[in-house]
Amino acid sequence: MRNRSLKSVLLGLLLAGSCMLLSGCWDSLGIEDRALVLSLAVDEAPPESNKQEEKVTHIDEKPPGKMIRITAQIAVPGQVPLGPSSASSGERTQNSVWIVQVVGHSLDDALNNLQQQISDPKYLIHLRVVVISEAIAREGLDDLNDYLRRNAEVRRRTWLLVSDIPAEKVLAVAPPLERVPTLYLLSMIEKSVRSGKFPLDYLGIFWTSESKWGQDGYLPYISIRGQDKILVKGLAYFSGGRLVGTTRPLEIGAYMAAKGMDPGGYSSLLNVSGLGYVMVQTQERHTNIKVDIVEGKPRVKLKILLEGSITEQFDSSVDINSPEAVGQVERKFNEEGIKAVKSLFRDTQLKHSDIFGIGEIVRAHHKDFWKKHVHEKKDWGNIYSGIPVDVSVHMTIRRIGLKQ
Amino acid sequence: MSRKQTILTIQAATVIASSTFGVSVLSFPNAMARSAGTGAPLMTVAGILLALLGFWPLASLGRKFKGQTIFEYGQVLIGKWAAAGIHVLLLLFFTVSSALYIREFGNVLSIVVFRKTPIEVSMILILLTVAFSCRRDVVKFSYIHIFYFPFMFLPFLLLMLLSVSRIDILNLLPMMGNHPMNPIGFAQSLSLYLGTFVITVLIPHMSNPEASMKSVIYGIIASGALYLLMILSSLGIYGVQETKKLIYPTLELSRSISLGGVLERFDVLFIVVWFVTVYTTIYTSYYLASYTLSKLLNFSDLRVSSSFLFPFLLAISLIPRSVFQSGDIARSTEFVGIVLAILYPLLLKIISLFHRRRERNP
Repeated sequence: MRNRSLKSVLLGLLLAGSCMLLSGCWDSLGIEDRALVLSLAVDEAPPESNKQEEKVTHIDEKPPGKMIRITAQIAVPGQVPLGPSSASSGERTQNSVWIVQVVGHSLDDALNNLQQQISDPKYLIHLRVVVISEAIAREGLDDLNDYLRRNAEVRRRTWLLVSDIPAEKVLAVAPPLERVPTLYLLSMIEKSVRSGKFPLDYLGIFWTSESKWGQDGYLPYISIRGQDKILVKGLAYFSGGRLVGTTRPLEIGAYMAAKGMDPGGYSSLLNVSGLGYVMVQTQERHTNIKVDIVEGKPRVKLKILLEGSITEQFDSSVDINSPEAVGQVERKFNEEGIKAVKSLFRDTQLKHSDIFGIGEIVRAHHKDFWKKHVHEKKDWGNIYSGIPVDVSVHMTIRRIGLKQ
Repeated sequence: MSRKQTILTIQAATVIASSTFGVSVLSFPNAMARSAGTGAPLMTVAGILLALLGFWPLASLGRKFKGQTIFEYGQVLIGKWAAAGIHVLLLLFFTVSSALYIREFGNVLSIVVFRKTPIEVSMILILLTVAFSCRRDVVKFSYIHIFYFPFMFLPFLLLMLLSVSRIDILNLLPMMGNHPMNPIGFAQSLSLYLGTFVITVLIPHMSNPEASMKSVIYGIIASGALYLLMILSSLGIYGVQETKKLIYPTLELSRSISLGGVLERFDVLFIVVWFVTVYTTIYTSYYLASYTLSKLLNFSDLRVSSSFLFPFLLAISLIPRSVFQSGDIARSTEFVGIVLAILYPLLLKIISLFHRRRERNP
């Protein structure tokens, strides 16, 4: 008798349990029903866009500032290939992503307008690249970052890029190497990090340096060349959340040398007297930054130790085949290196943008100075613009290649 | 010989470690960065030392009054009614803090993973899980803790070790902080270890009650070391200013980890592990609340009291209107908790010293 009632209780439990299984996940949303935004381009909206505004998040309110135009690349389910495929380059781009353009007063306003126009709910979980045009960056990125920071879907490993041409054009670049344009852009920038063409600087790192009082952020500055090539053009450096200046490509190398970042990926062409033109490739960098307070002012001492090799020599009748000749090249390199690093310092000092993080060293090691002079982030920018910088560069050339 | 199951010293230490390492894991670096700047690691260490000092009276009272918990010898030392009054306050403290933990748990789940699930559903689920576990006796209570301990301790350790390589030492200097430390930070850092109060319930069941202080020391140091690692890695990677801007710095750490560029977004995995730590912390807090209630009303076990508390916990956890309000209530509860869980045993300890003197010279 007891056994039977126990059995029916157990069966009842089983019934209740299996009922739960029948329902599946109550809030499941298949991947085909999501609009996965792969990349965003943010541009200034053309002046007449006020009229085509959709009034999704506001009716009469006129938020301050200029309007922005957002171009989103949305992955088309089933069309994004997972492996290599033989599709020819033409049909690829049109099929794998869907490009949507909207205007709005802010990033979220624009994304809301976008949502009003497409059926599937948008997801930023696979957002990998955000390209902003230089004009937007010069207005300031704080408002843009606010949305990206608040949204739990956005990864800290997303890349933020600044382009000197309208950002939507960068997204449209479709080289034959990848079927999804965004993924090409992403692999382009990630491979340049691996080969020493650019420091590791994804969104999270940019945010971190922008937050620090003794440091300012920088972003990759890119452009396009021809129909389908992307050029890493330099660093776009910020001060107070606004873009204030950009560098040339070789100055990325100077920056990485000043910070002692490896691997070294840049070669410099030197005009060595008597030896013609010599190309020296940097391979390893070690840097010692010291900051002392001299006469009530921080004084930066930069000691850069480099290792490299000679990769080319031209316009000369004399071969480099003696330690003396190599020493001559090294000395010339040191001279040019000091010039390059100093000029990068001077440029950033003029713009109050401490991308080297000198202020953080002062904060960490000279507590009293920091407490006395720095009360908000702006204070350090002002001090930074007037501090003396000593640079010394020591290049050691280990190899000269296969030619004797 | 009685065949009663007992708790070993190391097991008691595990219970303390798993009780104290809990809900605040996510937001703790933020609070420390706010009150101490780069002095946060030092403040965390100070919190560990304060907790060791603070729980010494409780452990030593347990040694003196063998086989009794604070709820029994408290009555002996300060009188039945005074003790009952304080025990009611203890009951309120543990009830309110469990409720706030549950609310915080619901908040995190709503923000990060289950954005469409109503917060009540996730809160009721964890509450039910804990309420059912609370119906066990002390030995089973500690076995449950011991079972779950590796599942929370090891993944957290792994996460921290994965992050260590990205630490920038500059972010941790100067060690004393750029600005004077805010004394409230010491209370916050100390309040992490309030769960150690559970030792008073464990002592009567320990195989060697003399070693109770040892358990306290090992337990607090184990969870304190993990907290310290956490502070070092989130501060070392993000720096003070960025940590101040992140509501859950530890969660961000897990979000930014990338293994070989292929495996990313460890936050979901992290939340699963965090669920276990939350469960063990709420478990201790709820268990202590039920235990206090059953002692106050002279119940023989915890079944009635844990069921009785269930609706109250749910109701309290639903009171705060927003994250700000629940944060405010949590902070004031911490202070009350320090007074009750640390100063009350200290008072008893002092009184017990006088007692002994009176016994010697009657």
